[in-house]
Amino acid sequence: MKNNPLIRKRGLLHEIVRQRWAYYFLLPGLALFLVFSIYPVLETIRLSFFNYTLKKQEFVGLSNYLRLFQDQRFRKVFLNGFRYALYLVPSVVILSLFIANAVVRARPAIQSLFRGAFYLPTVVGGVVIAAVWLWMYHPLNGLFNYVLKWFGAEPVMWLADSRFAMPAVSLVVLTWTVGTPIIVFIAGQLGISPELYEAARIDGASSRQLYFRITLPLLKPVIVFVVTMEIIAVFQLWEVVYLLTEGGPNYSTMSMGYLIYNTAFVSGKFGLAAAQGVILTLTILLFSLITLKGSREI
Amino acid sequence: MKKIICLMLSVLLLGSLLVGCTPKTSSASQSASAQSAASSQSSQSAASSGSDAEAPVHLTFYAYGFQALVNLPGYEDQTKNLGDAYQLIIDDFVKEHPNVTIDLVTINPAGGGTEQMDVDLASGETPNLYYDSLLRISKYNGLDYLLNMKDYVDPSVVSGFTKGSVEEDNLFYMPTGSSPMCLCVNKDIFEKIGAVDLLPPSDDRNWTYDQFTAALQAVKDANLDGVYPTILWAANQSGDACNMSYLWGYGARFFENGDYSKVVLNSQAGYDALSFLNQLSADGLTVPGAAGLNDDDMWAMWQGSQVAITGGYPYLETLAKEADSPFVPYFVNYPHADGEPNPPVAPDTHAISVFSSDDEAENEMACKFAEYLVSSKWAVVISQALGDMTVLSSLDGQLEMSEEYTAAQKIMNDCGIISYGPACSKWSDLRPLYAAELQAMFSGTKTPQQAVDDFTAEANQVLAD
Repeated sequence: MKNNPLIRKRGLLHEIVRQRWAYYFLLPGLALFLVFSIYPVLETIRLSFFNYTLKKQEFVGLSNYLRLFQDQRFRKVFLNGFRYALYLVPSVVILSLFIANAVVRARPAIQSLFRGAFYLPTVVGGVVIAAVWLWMYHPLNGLFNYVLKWFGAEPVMWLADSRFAMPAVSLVVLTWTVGTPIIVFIAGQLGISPELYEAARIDGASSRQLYFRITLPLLKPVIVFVVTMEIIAVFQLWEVVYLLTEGGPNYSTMSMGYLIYNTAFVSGKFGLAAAQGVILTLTILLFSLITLKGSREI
Repeated sequence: MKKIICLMLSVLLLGSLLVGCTPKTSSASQSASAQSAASSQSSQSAASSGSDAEAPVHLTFYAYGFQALVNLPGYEDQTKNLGDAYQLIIDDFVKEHPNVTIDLVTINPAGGGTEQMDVDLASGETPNLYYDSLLRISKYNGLDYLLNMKDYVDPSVVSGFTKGSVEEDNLFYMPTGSSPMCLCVNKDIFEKIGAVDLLPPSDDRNWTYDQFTAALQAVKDANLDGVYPTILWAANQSGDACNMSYLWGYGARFFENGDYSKVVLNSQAGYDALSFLNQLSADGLTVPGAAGLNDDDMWAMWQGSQVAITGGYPYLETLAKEADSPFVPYFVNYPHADGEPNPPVAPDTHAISVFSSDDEAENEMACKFAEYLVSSKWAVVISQALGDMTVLSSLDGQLEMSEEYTAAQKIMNDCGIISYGPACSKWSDLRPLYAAELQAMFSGTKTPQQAVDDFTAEANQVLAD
């Protein structure tokens, strides 16, 4: 009987009516959410069916989408998203797990110091980070080429050579974004009951076994959360790409986020940009669902 | 009772949220809306009588934040920040027209694009006035935003502009001045290496590509510490006219005879011109890493005496004089191929435009402000700071011009002006495409011919859209 959907629905309605005062107080927050989150999403979907420029708005059906699928440049940028994900998601997760594992064993004062140090780039922001790295990558006066010169090597066009540009941008993003996962993993590890480790030690488990048999399995929900968040962030990369390479050379570092910005605010094609946005949203949604489903099956 | 209090509290919360989301109503906008009603009634009569009446008019003025307008000579204390110079002009104008209020929005120059304007336009914030380089203004003419000021401006002002500096039938902009794009030589470096004789003489400052290359080679051979013969850059579109100007000497053009519907750079002349630039880079006659450099590098290296020759506007002279170690600049024209005429000069025109408004009183007053800006002392002050030549006959002789400044103007007068593209309404879409292909060429990803062909194909696709 409890599984009857009609009864479940009535139960839910009854619960809402019973808790109506709580919902009344939620109204302002809900209104903000509707206006600033739900409405823009719906409006983006609507705009994607229009040829919407600064001066005109004309219904064109699916032609924005058809145009995008035929556009070689869009396909390249779309694939760049996967390349960024391939570079960044594993490296961010592995590096932050490694650092978190090292930091969590330290004394509380040292722990706080390292947490602050690793989180600092996130607080400073992408713009400042990109400005500093821009100097380090500078072809003439940059730190990296200065070091290469010591060894008699030719200067490298870190951001202007398509062989190096994406790894170079990814490295900047890595240093900028690794702070938050570290904090999350430290919190996750501190939340694991010490009794589990004690019991395992009594049974003769090694440090490696403790980590791979207790820590990692219990951190699974946290890892899934970090992977999902990283996928979303990587596909939406914007400011670092804008400041370091403007998507070049030859679109090799162009991210979907930056392409959407360019299409909308540089070329003034808001309808086309909306279609790109919808495709980006669906891609992120798909990957998030795959990650979540995959994590349940592990 | 408890229920009533809870209900009141939740209504209060929702109400405060709605109040927070209500648009701001400042005194300025209140007066604007008040005058809007008044002006809509009186605009007909005002327009017909030619008087600006006393009805209040509120205008919005978008102006590009040119760094050169900070610390204006003679107004240093009042122009310490970006945009202060425009506020001075507004204050002066408003003194003569007390019924007018003008809000100033200074456009952030970082990136050199029109994004800020576009976002505001897309969200319904249309300005009345817009001061910028013609490079960016023409985009809005193409989108049909700009007013033809011909019927609003004193005909004597229009006829006073140098021939070719305005489009008289479609007066969508009025220039305060134009800068000629030239090559600027650090003469001190050439004197130091004893190679001044390799430069064109001061009475005819034209030269061939071979002569130009020989001068660069002399700098390279001298092997001065930290000094490069010249600089090219392609990391982004900013300052692209400096690199584009190498094309004209081969006879290469983006458009043919003012036909802005089709790019025609994919000619033998276009291939030769880009091959020349590529060769300069390959021969080590430019700062290494052209693909990763931008115009900021050029400004800094020029001022630091690290490049012997660079392309740019007469503003380079100001930078040379203000450098930590000042040096003597010497303007020459861009080179030309054997058998080709001296290349025409690409001007950078700084101008004011009026965005068409439904309110006729706003259009009238905006045109009055535009006329004031281009014909008052301010056109001279701004031109002086931007390194422009004034193009209005009534201002002739008011601009203090150095010897080199005069020489640059003479190059422009002798060789003529090239209308290379900024008047094309999609020019702002084409610029990043050109920069991307130039970068691909400098980084070795494409040959000069591939870069030219790919740019032409992509540009024509954009123009066809």
